[in-house]
Amino acid sequence: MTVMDEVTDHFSAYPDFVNQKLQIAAETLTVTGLKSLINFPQTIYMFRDPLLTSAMNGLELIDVFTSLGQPISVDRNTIITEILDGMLVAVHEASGLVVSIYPVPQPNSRAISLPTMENSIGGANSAFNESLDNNIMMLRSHLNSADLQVKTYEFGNQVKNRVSLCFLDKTIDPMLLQNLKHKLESDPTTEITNMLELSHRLGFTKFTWVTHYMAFELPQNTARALKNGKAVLFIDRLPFSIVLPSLFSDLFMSEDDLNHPPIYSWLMRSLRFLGVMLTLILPGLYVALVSVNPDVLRFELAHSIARSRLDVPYPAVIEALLLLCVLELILEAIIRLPSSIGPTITMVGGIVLGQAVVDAKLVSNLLIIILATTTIANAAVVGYQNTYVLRLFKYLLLFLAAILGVLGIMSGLLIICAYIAGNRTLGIPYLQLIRPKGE
Amino acid sequence: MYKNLQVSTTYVLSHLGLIFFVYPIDVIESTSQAHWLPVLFGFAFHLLVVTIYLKGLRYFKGQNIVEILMERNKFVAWCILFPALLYMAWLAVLSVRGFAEVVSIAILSNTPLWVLNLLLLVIPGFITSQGMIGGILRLSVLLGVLFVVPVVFVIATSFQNADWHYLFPLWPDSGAMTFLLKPHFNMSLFAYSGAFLMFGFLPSFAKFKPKAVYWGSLVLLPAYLISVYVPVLTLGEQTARQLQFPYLFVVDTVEINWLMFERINVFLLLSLIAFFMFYISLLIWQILCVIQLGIKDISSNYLVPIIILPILIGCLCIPDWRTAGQLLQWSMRFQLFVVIVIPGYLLTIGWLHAKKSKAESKNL
Repeated sequence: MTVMDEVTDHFSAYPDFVNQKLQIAAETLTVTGLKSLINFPQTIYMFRDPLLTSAMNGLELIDVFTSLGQPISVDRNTIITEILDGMLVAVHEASGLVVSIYPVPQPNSRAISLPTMENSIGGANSAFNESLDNNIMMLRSHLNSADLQVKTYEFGNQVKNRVSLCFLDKTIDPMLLQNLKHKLESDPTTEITNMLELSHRLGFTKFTWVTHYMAFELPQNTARALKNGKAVLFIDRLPFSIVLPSLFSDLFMSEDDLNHPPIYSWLMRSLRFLGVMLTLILPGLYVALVSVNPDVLRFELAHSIARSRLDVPYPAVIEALLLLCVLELILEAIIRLPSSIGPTITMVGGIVLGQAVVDAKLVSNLLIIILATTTIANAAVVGYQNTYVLRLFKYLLLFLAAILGVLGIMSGLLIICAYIAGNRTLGIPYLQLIRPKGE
Repeated sequence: MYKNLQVSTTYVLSHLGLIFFVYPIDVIESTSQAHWLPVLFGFAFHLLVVTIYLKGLRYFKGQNIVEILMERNKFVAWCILFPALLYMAWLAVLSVRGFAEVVSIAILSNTPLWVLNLLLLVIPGFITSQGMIGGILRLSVLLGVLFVVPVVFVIATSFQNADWHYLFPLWPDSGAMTFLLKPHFNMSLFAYSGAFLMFGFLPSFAKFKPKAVYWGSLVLLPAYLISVYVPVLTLGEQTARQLQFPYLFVVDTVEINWLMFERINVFLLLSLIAFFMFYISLLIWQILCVIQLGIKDISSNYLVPIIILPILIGCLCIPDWRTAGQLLQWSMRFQLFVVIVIPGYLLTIGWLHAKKSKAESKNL
C-alpha cells in the first residue's frame, strides 16, 4: 500500500474528502483536500492554469508543479496534518513528488464587521473576527511598522490550535517578553482554546479578582497597547485580541479618547473615575449611614431617610442585598436573551419590579435611587472584564460597612487599593499608568 | 529605577497619619506663646536627623540598613537593630492603641476596642503581605490621589472660625527656649521620628534622590503648623490646652451649609486612619525586613501574623488612654536613642567605609 493509499484510507469515512485525478498532457496528478475547507472549483482552476500553459512557455511541467507550493515529505502523518490544516495536497504520480499548496479557502468566518462588545465614537469601526490570519492582517494595517513581531505557536496534541504573540520589538519591556515567552513555550502539548486555559498556562491564580488582561475587539485599541509596550495574543477562533498586562489605567483610558480634544478626554476619564468610586462606595455608604453612623448625615436628611425606611422590616444591609441580587440577575439574564425579548425584561425588572417593591414597602425609595446610580456608574468603566471586579468589590464594602460603618468603607477601600497595588501580571505591577514596566 | 514620587508620598503619608492627633496638644502644652518656635525647632531637628541618615545611607549604594550593619560587627549590629526592632514594635503598639481610642470616641462608640485594635492591625498586615515594599510604595501614590481631596478640603475649612488675633504675640518673651526642657516637647518629637527609618530599609530597586524627601518635608511643614495653629486660633491657647485632641475638636465645630454631611471631621479622620494604617504596614514591613535579613528568612505569609499577634496582645494589655500616654512618655528616651544613634552610627561607618575604599583605590 502506498502512502497515498493510506491517506485515502484514513479519510475514507470523511464525507468532505476529495481525491481527484487530473490529466495534463501525458502526466497524471492527484489532488486531495477537504472540500469543507477548500473552495475546489476555484482552487483547481488556479492549480491547472499554470500547468497547462507550461508547455507553451517552454517550461518543464514538473518544475512548474513544484513551484506551486511547498514540497513536503512523503509521510502519512505529515500529509494528514497538511490536509487537516486546510491545504491542498497534490501528488505527481510519475515521480511521487508531493506538494502542499495554499488553496482558495472556504470562507470560515464572518466578514469584517462592527464590534459587538465595544463601541467606538469617532474611531475606526471594523472589529476583529474569528480568523487569526484576518486579525493579524487587521493589526498590521493599523500598525504598519517593521518593528512588529508576530510569533505563532501551536498547542495541543489531540485538538490543535494556534496562538499568535505580537509585540513591538523595541518598546516592549524585556522582562514581560521573556516571562511571556517562557510561559508559552513551556508546554506545547496542552491545548489553549479559551481564556481559562490561557490564564492557567500563564500562571494566573484561580483566585485573582482583578483581570490580568484586556480583551479588545477594535484593532486601534490593540495597536495603541502595542505602542505602549504591551504584548498581544490572538487565539484562533476567538474574535478579540488579548492584551497583556492589564494596567490600572485601562479602567479609565481608551484609545477612543484620543479622537477628542484633550480637555474632553480628560473630563471623560474623570467621569469614569467618578463612576468607579460611586459604584464601590454608594451601596456601602447607604448601609453605613442608615444603620451605623446616622450622626454623620445632616439631621434633615437623616430624618427623611429614616422616615422612608419606617415600614421596612429588616436591616439596611439585607434590604440592599435583596435588591442588588435582583439587579445582578437582570444583568445576567439579559446577556443571553434574543434582542427582541431583552426590552421586556428591562421593563419587568426596572419598572414593574422596582415600583412594586417600593409600594410593598420592601425597600426604601432612596435605595432604589442608589442602586440605579450604582448600576449605571458601573458601566462607565472601560472594558467589560473590568465591570466584573467592580461588581464584586462593592459587596466587600457593603459587608464591611454593615459591620463598621464609614470606617468599614474606608477599610474596604484600603483593602482594594492594597490588593491593586500588590497585584502583578507576569512580574509587571498592575498599578501603573500607560507604559508597563517591571520593578 | 528612580521612584522619587513613590518614596516622597510614602514619607509624607506616613507622617501625616501621626500629626493631627497628640502632636498639637503636646506643642500647646510645651509653651504658652509663639508656638511656631517648638514646631520649627522640632522640624529642624527632624530634617537634621533625616539628612544625617540619608548621608550615611548614600555611602552604601544598593544596600539596606540591615545588610550594611550585618556585614560588619554582628554584635554591634544587634546592639543597634534590637532597640530599633523593639522601638518599631512599641510604636506600633502605642499608636494602634491610641488610634483605636480615637476611632472609638469619634465614630464607633459601640464597637468593642479589641475589634478596632484587630482591624487596625489586620489591614496593615494584609497590605504588607499582599504587596511587600513595591506594593506599599505604589499604594502610597494611590492613597495620596484618593484622599488628598478630603484632607485638603477639611484642612481648608478648619480655618472657618479662626480669630487671627490669637496669632500674637508672634515673638516670644525672654525665656522662650524653656520648652526644650518640658517633657511635652520631647513627646511632640514622636510625630517627627516615627517613620523616617524606612529610608534605610528600601530595597535597591527603589532608588530615590534626597531632593524628593526634602520636597516631601516641605509639604509636611504646613501640616505641622496648621495642626497646632488652627486650635490656637479658633479656641485660644488656654481653651485649646484643655482638650485631648484639639484639632479634631475644632474640625467638628465647622459648619458648612451646602454639604449633606453634619460632621466633616469624619472625612479627615477616615483619611488619616487610612494614612495611619499605611504607616503601620510600613512598620510591619520594617520589622519583617529585620527578621528576614537578620535572623531567618521565613516566608512573609507566616511572619506577618507572627509579628501582628504580639503587637495585638500589647495593645490589649493597655487598659486606657492615660496609661498609653504615660507609656509614650516613658518611651521617649528610648526614642531619642534610636533617632540619634542609628543615623549617627550609619554616618560614621559610612564615612570610614568611604575613606577606606578611597585609600584602597589610591593603592591600586
